[in-house]
Amino acid sequence: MLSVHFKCNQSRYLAGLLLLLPLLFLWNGVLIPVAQLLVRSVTDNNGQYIGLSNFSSYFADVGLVSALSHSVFVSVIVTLVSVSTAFTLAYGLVRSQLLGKSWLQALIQIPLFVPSIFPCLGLIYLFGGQGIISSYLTDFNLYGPVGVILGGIIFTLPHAVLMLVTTLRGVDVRLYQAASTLGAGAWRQFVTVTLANSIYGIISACFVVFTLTMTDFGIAKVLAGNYSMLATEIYKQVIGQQNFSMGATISLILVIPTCIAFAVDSWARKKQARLANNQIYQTVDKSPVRDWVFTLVCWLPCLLIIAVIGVVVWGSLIAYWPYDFSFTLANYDFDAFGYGWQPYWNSLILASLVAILGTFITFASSYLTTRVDTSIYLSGFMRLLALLPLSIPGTVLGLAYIFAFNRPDSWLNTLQGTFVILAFNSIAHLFSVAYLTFNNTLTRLDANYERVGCSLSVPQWQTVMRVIVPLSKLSILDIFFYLFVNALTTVSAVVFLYGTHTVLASVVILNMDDAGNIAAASAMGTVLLLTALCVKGTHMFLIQLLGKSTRIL
Amino acid sequence: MKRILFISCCMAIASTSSFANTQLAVYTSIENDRLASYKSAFEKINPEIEINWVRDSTGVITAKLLAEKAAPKADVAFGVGASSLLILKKEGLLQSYKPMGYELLSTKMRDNNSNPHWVGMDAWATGLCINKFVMKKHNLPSPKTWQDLTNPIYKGLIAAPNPASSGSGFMNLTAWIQMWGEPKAWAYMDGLNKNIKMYTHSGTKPCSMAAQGEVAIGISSSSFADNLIKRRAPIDVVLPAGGIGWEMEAAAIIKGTQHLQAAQKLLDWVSSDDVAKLGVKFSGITARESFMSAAGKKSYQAMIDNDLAWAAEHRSQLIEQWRQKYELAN
Repeated sequence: MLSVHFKCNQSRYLAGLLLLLPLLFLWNGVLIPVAQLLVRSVTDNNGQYIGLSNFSSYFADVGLVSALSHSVFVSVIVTLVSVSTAFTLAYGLVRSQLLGKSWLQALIQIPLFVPSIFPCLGLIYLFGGQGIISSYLTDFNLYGPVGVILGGIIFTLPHAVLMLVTTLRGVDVRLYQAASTLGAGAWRQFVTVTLANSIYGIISACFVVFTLTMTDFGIAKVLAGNYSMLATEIYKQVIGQQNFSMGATISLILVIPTCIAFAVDSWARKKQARLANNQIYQTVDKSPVRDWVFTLVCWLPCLLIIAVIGVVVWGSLIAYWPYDFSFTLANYDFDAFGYGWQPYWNSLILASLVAILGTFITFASSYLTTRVDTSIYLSGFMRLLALLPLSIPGTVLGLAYIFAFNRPDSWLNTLQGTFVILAFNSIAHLFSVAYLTFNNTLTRLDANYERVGCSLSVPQWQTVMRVIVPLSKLSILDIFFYLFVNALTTVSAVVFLYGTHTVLASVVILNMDDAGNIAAASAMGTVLLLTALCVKGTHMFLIQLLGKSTRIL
Repeated sequence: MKRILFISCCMAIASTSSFANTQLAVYTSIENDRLASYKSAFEKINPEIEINWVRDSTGVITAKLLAEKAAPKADVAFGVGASSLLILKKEGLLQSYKPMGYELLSTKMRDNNSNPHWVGMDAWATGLCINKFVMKKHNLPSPKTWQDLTNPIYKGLIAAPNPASSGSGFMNLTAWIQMWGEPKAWAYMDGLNKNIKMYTHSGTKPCSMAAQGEVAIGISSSSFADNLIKRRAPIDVVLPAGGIGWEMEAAAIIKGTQHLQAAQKLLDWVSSDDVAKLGVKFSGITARESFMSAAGKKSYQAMIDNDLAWAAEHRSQLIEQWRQKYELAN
């Protein structure tokens, strides 16, 4: 007994050392750039220390404070609508036999496959000044809070669905069996089993949706009109007036609501008892009434989203909206617009790099903080660092990278404009959601696996490879594709970092839209969409394959 | 002996590589579809130099150059707004150089200084993009003067660039002040603000919004309109009577470049016939006056005497004032 304890302790120290690697990654990828932001916010544009005068002038400015309240207002509405819709969808997907389940699960994620500006183009096609539906509406103004809320819901819904499906999948199916044996009705089961066991996942989803909406720049840029919001305020300060120091200040103010969300999140985590001790692939009995209700309720938001996305694909195939609706492929001739296809290949390279390296590093980080007894300070610090990127707008993180690394004394200086720095930035930017999802999955796995492995003298890394990885492969797969499509579609994080040879398709879309070439922007977006759909097809195929093998296990 | 042979081999390799292509990192805001013709024309006469573009909007390029101040990545800024170059000059980022053919350039379009830091290539001026269909639908007359735009009949039908994020927006703001003086200009903007549907982040956007029928009138530029008209957008361009603001695309060398000679060659090329001809295609207004198109000359004559230095100096104060009045008051 004593010797077993000794061996396990040894692997603890090793794990502690291993945890330093992801810590080092986040230290360089998040903390140093953010520290640069802090420095910038208390210095003026010439590097002179000015204390908190930026902050006091911010809060003295009624207009900037109203931008803050606008952003919070919009984010709260989006969070309420998006998370409750996502929960309904996730519940339908996991706990009912609704029609076309795998189709629904794939289609609902379509907004993840395109830059956030893409559905905005769709909203313009449908509800803009010359929109297809606008002519039937009176006094409808898309440009303002309405547009941002609509765009935000479409943009965040798949993120929330992904998280909540993972959460609900992890609820031990035996709890339902026990509940029905004890005579609990459907509603009672829902409250005492489903809700009680997924509350942590719901809070995390709220946290993710809220911050995504707060920090997204693309939607606000295209649809906010004259409605001031924080993300566009940063843009105006940095891009419009080259006032980096005020831009840094506003970015830090954006972090405040996120820190509150983080505190709530950690509180929920403590309240939450260890949930299930085993993950069993859930099977649900048929129930015609319930299944039909969920088929209708879940497909409705999905179809609305597909309509918004589909109209953009249609827009890419017509000659000139809204005047000439004849069919054409001319918008796909990217050479004619001076871009060619290189940006597309660049995006594929970046997405592959981010998916492979990102899955590995986020899984490792999550494993080391949730399932290994390392120093609580180390793992606490790791959690804090891992959640930090979520609160930092991509544009700001990109800028922070330039502040931090584009100087002669930085080790990353020679890598400016290469795929290395783009991938580094993208993984850091996307770290949080991947990490939270893995945490959700890994905390659910029985804590005894490692102890058993340890007492059988199996090295812990073998326990990980043989037991933990196979048991979390569905999440690993989800995260791999999540990272891939996000890297394919991300704009804001890379807009400052791309170089001559690393122009990305998503950046090109934004530039095309700015130049008034909405059709070509739609076309490039459609190409990304089709790519992501192929990738998604592969994903689904693999899920089916692995799902079967899990059941055999 | 062997050692000498080895060294001479190394030297030979080194010297051939220096004769190979010099890679010039050129930051630009020129629209993508025009970049290829600049690149091929320049590389044709300078085969030893290869241009690598980094293209983005003026604001992003300026922010990028400022952010990279400590370790510049760019060799040349080419086709970047002159007012942005003035900011860079103030920050000490530009290397002064008087290129060949400097005298050929219009005095309006060069840094008139004994040590010039930048040279102009071509200019573009304010113009109104007017959607014929939408005007007809609302049965509205086309505006002729700046004052016409404050007429309540155009309420909610005008898009204009935001001075806080768009160079064009700032250009309009300073043009009005320079033409009419501050009190009258602000009074004018009060009136105009009542008719504005939306202030946009970029200067091209009002024109493309007009082209799409999102608004009837976009305060933008004729040079952006031409591109849209080529793609059959139903828009007309009107130059409002009483003077128009303008801005130029200019070029400058970034201080600290590793390829000074190649960078100087690119600056020398700015005054060439090639650049003038390419500039004519864009806006009709080029730094070589003899090359200007008829429409370009018309704009050139309507262009106000723009004091870029004055505008640069008062930039943050004017933008702040504008934002307090029209943006943050909502």
